[in-house]
Amino acid sequence: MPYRIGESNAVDVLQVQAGDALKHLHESEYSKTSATTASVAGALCISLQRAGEIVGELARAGLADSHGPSIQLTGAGREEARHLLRAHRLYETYLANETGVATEDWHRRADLVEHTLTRQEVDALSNRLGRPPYDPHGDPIPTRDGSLPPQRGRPLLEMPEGSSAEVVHLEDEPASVYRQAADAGILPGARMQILRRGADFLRVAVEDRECELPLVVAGAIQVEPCETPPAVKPLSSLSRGEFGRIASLSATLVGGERRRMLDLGLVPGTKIERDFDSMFSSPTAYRVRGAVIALRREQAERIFLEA
Amino acid sequence: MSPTEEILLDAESARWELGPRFQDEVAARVSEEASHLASRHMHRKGDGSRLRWQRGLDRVLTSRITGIPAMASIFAIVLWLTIEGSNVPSAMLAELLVDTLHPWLKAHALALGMWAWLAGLLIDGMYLSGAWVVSVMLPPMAIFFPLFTLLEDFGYLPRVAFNLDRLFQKAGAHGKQALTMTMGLGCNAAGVVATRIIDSPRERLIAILTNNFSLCNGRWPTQILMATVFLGAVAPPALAGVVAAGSVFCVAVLGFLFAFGSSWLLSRTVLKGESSTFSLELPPYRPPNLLRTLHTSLVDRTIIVLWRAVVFAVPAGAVIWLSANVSVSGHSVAWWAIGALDPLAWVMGLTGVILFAYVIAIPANEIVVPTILMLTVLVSGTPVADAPGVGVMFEADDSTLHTMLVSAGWTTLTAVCLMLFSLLHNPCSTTLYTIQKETGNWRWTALSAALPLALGFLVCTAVAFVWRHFAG
Repeated sequence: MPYRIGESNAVDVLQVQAGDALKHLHESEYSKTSATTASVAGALCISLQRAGEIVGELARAGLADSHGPSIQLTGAGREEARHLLRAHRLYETYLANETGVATEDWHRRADLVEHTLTRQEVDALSNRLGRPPYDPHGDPIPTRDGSLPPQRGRPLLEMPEGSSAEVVHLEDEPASVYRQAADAGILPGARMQILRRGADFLRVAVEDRECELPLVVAGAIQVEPCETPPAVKPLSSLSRGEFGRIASLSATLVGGERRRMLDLGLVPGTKIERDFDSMFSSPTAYRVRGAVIALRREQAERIFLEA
Repeated sequence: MSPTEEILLDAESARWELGPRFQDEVAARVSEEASHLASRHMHRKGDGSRLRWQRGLDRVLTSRITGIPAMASIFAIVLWLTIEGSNVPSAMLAELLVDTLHPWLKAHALALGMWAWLAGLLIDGMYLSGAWVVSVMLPPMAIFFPLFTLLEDFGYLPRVAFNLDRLFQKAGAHGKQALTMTMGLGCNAAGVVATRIIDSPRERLIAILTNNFSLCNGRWPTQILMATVFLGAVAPPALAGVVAAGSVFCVAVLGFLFAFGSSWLLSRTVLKGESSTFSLELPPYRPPNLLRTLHTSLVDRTIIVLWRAVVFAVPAGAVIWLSANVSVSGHSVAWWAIGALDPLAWVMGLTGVILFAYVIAIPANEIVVPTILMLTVLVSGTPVADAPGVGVMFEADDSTLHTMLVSAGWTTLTAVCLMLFSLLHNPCSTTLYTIQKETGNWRWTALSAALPLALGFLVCTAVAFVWRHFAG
């Protein structure tokens, strides 16, 4: 098992930075923007000089080519970048599905581990997880021979006021931006309505609440237009003995947690009743499909009913 | 192209068309299909709402006012039945294996011309240790585990997890740890195996590492003995029983507090992480299947645990016997070891004999008291009416015991510290072996021993310090 609790893997800093630069080049290629030494420095939070050195090393290793200011991946570079991406996303899927590691730690841990996994180990991990096509963030996992679907979505900031959109991708770097979006419940799969565009924020309605996203956060979000999402209320808002009908599961329920809810039959359209509370008021027992299921309050707040 | 290849190719090309929420879609269809099948082929009586008595029972067993008293009394009854009920069969087994078969074996071995040292090693050491473990361990386990399984089958145990989940969540642990902890009251090794019901590896490890704080069956006799002989004795005679029972109860509750505290500590240090999802089905109450209960609890739990204990107790019996019978520079190995441990033991309010007994009786907590008695006689040389030969474990009645231990320098402080140390020390070797098997990792196993030992040292030292400060 590649996952070890409480241990950190010692990894060569240089190797990590080179790998991160490769991933950045790949990301630029994938989203059809151009990568420069400056964008590498920005993505890795390192100095321009250091970024130049790394790009030079990648070029010497035959992984990248520079034509004028823009830097491209070579075939070998693309292959290596997709291996890292595959290792990273599979490992995140593994953490999400099979461990109790907190959501905000997945990316960091996967960043450490991706460099230590061999191709065989990555294949074994993929097989063990049932060859998942997408990671818990909704991003495609490259296949063994490196195939990826074309990039979906368009920037959220291009959507007009009053329109509705479904999140298809969220940049997981920088971590603080990712965290702000995730805290607002904006993760791939979340549907929102764009309410108002301010000078430095975007006001959106997502699930049962409204929030204001700083533009730097909104800029990290890719969406697809969708129909207006119906109004919802959380399962935890039911009072004792009251019934409701499940509308959707929050996009923040991911990995093993989401699968468990689905397996319990908590799928859209299901009738659910709040039955009784435990002595410390959480968890609460709900009646669903003839069974009594206890859920913690934190979970019940992320299951939505038709309002 | 073969049909298989065609299908694989189709699947491969559909890979990116299905979308990230494909699993949701599948789960929804499965549920839909299942309820469709059920409604077509099943007849439901009544309006499908839960039976009223089931609802009523849930209200009583999970409400804030009645839930805790109900839980406390159910477990008190289970423990009382276990302790009281095992007295008679334990005495019968001891009569047979220890009092009758042991002298018989010894006499015949000697009559057949076996060397005395070999007979001592094999019969006084190995046989007696194994026999002791069987007679002390088997009856309580054969009562506790079936009772526990009955509560499980009836549907009560999931309600306990449901009730206590909030507390465990605050400690960074899982509600199902309530079940493994109560299982630990029977046997920590069985409690450790029971942690398999916890899916998240982080929370499962917390449950494994803290299971030892549940006072297991093997330690109840030590607690009861100390409470009766020393603590009950200092109370007015009318209250002796209450004081004794109350102090044992306090130690058990203290164990639960330590379990919560160390779960909290672990989840903030070496086992950092968010508490994972908690979803638990509360099955309808139903009459337990008695035969199946007996089978699973006796075969899956009792026999396996007992076998492991015997496997460890037999070689330990040899070590115990040898430590008392092998001499170095005119004194037995035990004598030297006890002398070396004495200063540390004094700091902890214990005696060298107790610490050494905990070292050599590591296979099972059940043989700690007999080992202490044997060593006390060995060291003090006090002749006791029914003490057998050197290096032979034995038991004695309460008043003989009191006189013997007091003359060996024991005080009320020694008894209190022994009760605390019996709660807070490394798990027995059977449990350690089980932890190693379940975690597959020596470091976690080492931590599971080091954590309670460190706590035991701190708590005993603090109690001894404060006690001596005020008492003299």
